[in-house]
Order: sequence, then C-alpha cells, then structure tokens
Amino acid sequence: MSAAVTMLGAARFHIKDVRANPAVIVLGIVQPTVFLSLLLAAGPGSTPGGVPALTVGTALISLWSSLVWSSGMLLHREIRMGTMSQLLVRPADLRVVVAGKAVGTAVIALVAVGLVCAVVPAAFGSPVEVARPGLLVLVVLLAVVNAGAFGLLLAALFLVVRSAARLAEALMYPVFIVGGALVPLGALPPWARWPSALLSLRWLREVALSAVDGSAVRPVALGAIAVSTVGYLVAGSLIFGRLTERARKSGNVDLN
Amino acid sequence: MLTSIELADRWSPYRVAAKMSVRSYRAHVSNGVIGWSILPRALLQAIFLVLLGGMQDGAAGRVYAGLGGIAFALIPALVTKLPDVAAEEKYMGTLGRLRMGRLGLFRLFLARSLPYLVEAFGSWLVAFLVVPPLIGDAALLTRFPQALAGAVVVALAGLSVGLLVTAFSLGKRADLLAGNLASYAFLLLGGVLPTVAAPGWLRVVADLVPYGAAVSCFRHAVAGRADLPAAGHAILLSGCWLIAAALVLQYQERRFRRTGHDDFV
Repeated sequence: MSAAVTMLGAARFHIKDVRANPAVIVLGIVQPTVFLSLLLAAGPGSTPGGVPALTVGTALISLWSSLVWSSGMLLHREIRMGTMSQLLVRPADLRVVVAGKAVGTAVIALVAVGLVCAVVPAAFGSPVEVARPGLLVLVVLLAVVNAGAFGLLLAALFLVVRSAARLAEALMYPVFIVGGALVPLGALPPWARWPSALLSLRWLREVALSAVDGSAVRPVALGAIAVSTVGYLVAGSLIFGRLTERARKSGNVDLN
Repeated sequence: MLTSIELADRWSPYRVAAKMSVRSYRAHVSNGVIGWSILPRALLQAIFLVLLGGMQDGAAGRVYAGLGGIAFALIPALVTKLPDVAAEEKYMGTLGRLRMGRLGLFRLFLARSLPYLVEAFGSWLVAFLVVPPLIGDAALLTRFPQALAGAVVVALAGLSVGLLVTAFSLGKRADLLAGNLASYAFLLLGGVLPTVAAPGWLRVVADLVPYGAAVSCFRHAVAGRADLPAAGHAILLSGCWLIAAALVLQYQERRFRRTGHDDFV
C-alpha cells in the first residue's frame, strides 16, 4: 500500500515538475502532429488498418520517445541537479520512485498525444471513431502501467552509460522501425520481425486497434503486455539494485 | 588593398574560433559516439523514412522518401546540435566572455558551425550509401558528384535555419523547443515524404522556408537535371534567413548589454 502511495506521489510530483518543460511539447505534441500530418497528407496508402492504424502507431512511437527522453534521462537529471543522494537515503525504495515518475511521464505523454490524435485526423477529414471506448480506457491504463515498468528499465540502463543523450538518440529509430507500432511488420524482412514480440508497443497497438474497430481482442496480446510489464520490472529492479549497491559501497552517487 | 599580413590578421579570429569549436566538439563526441550513435542514427533515420514512403505510395513512395531521407540526414547536426552550442554557453555562463571577442556572435557561431557541417556531411554520406540499394536504384551511387552539389544547397539551407535557431536559443526557454521544431519542420515543409494532400496554408509557409526549394534542387540534381531556378530560390531564401539570424543575434547582443547580464535561462 505504501509503495502505491509513494508511486502515485512520485507520479504527481513529476507531472508538476515537467508539465511546462519544452520537451513535453516537442515529444507529446510536435512530433506526433508532424508524423500524423505527413502520413495523413498523402492518405493512408496501403497501410493495413488505414487511418486508425496510423493514428495509434503515431501515438505509440510518441509514447516511446517520451519514455526514452524523459524516463531514461530521469536519474541523470537528478545526478546533475545534486538531488540523487537525497533520493537514495529516503525510506521509500528508489525503484518505486523512478517507476512512479515514469508513470507520470506516460500520463503527460498520453494526454498530449491523445489530444493530437483527436484533432489532427479530424482536421484532415478522417476523424477516428472508437467502437469500444471501455477497451480504449483499459489500453491506456495498461500502457501507463507498462510505461512505469519500462521507464524503470530505461532509467537503469541509461545509468550504465556515460553518453546517455546519445544512447537515447540511438534507441529511437530502431524501435520506430522494428517495434511494430507504426511500420507494419509485413513491410520488414522476416528476420527483422521478431524483436517487436519483445516490445509491448506491438501488443498495445493490437489491443488499441481492437478498441477502435471493435474486433475481438486476442488473449495473447493481453498476455504479452502483462508478461512484458513483469519482465521490464524484474530486469529494471535487478540492474537498479546492483547499481545502488555499488553506489553505497563506493560512496559515490555518480552511478555510471 | 590588404597586405598578406593584414589578411591573415583578419582571418585569424575565424581560424581560432573554428579550431576551438572542433576541440569542443571532440571533447563531447568521442569516436565511440560517432560509431554507435551518430552514424547509425543517420542510417536508421533514412531507413525509417523509406519505410514510411513505402507505406504511403509503394515503390514510388520509397524512392521519393529515400531521396528526401538522404537530404534530411544533413539536418539534425545543423539545426538541432549547432544551436546547442549557444545554449550550452548560456547555461555555463560563458556567453559574456564570448561577446568580448573580436568576432560578433553571428560570425562566431558561423565559424563554430564547422564540426557540425562535417557531421552533417558524414551523416549524409552514410544515408547516400545505404538508401540506393533500399529503393532499388543502385545507379544513384554513380551520380555522387551531382548529389553532392545538391547536398551543398540543402546544407546551406540547414545552416541558415540553424543559425536563426541559434539566435533564438539565446532567449528564455527557447533552446530545446526551437531546434526540435526546426528539425521537424524540415520533415513537414521540406517535401521529404509525398504530401499530395497538403493544405494550402502549409504550402504558403513552406515557400517562406528554404527547405522545400533546397530539397527540390537536390532531387533534380540527383536525377541529373540541374534545376537552377530552384537552386537560386533556395540560395536566396537561405541568404534571407542568414540575414535574419545576424539581425536577431545583434538584437540579443544589444539586449545583453542593456540588461547587463546574459542570464535568459
């Protein structure tokens, strides 16, 4: 119970902290507006799923970009601001705090992207109608929880490298291409299709499209989201535990 | 008539600024970062755009987006990273010292664009080598000199926009937003992807930014049909944006002098 309260508190604090940050505007509004406008301006073409697939895909890659830049860089920011040691000595587990902040990132990103996805297709004369709003709410909640776990893993991974900003740049496009969120897997060679199975974006897309077109949800998609959430959480916790242990032994909070 | 000594003296500050900018760049960007981040990004960015073009218009869309992607490879270094130099000086509190130098801010940042121009052309080269096989036009590789000429025009457009963004980056809270906006604007206004249904107002805006004319010039150059009016249009627009950058930087310098501080963070 106290972990949940801590997580919610961290999420709330993070939302207050970064809501006016220009990065939120760039990743939550500018990027999806540009991608969606570009894709809709030329028409959905041969994209399976048409406009809804492009809209959902754009929303998911914006969520990914926000997670990489905001959650991934989260602890680097704390180190730079000199607040990392304060976080480490608090009674609350740092992992819970970081996951909570990642949840905050996802909430901001999804609100911003949701607005873009409602407005831009309508401006191009192809508004996206949702056949099962309840299922869409469920997908958004799943995405937020999944993003919390993913954010924890990214924050831990980013601490291992010194050039975190460059790692963020390098991580963006591979997921854009093989993540299964926007680019249809059929457009990729067979050997490039399997990585998407490990990323929750592909499965979130599948369930979100079911919510939009009213088709049945495949249990495997929901199962994959649950498994990936647990997987990210376990991997992130393990890496984090090792790093914080090392920091305590060395007496240095500059964890990389 | 300038003597050779006077000429050398006139160029000396530019040489020093360019040399220092290379050192500063290399202090931030190691060989490893070039190898696992900058060049792969150029490669993957081009592949992503080719795939988006294919989604829109099949094989023709792939070719169109592939050429746009090669041109776009020049942009991030000039439009997003070059302005970061000014933003960093602002955050580090060293801008005041730079203003005391012999070069004004415009000429200083122009000289400091050198490593970013090198990075831009390095990224462009990677995209140029990778895209032709992807779009099924390996013969494109034989038109390297024409493509390079077109790329110079695109780079000039990117540099002019990058310097104007640099000028705005010195203002309050504009650094992150301005560079990223200008980079995404290239995708939207530069005609990187086929945008047959673009609204009229977007085309009007695109006509005021050098991106579209520069990319059009690049496409014609690659096709072996030099489009001199498009090149002239792009160069003229880039010139206008360079003048705007010089004016905004001059305004920022005056503002710093008037207020007595550089702290517009």
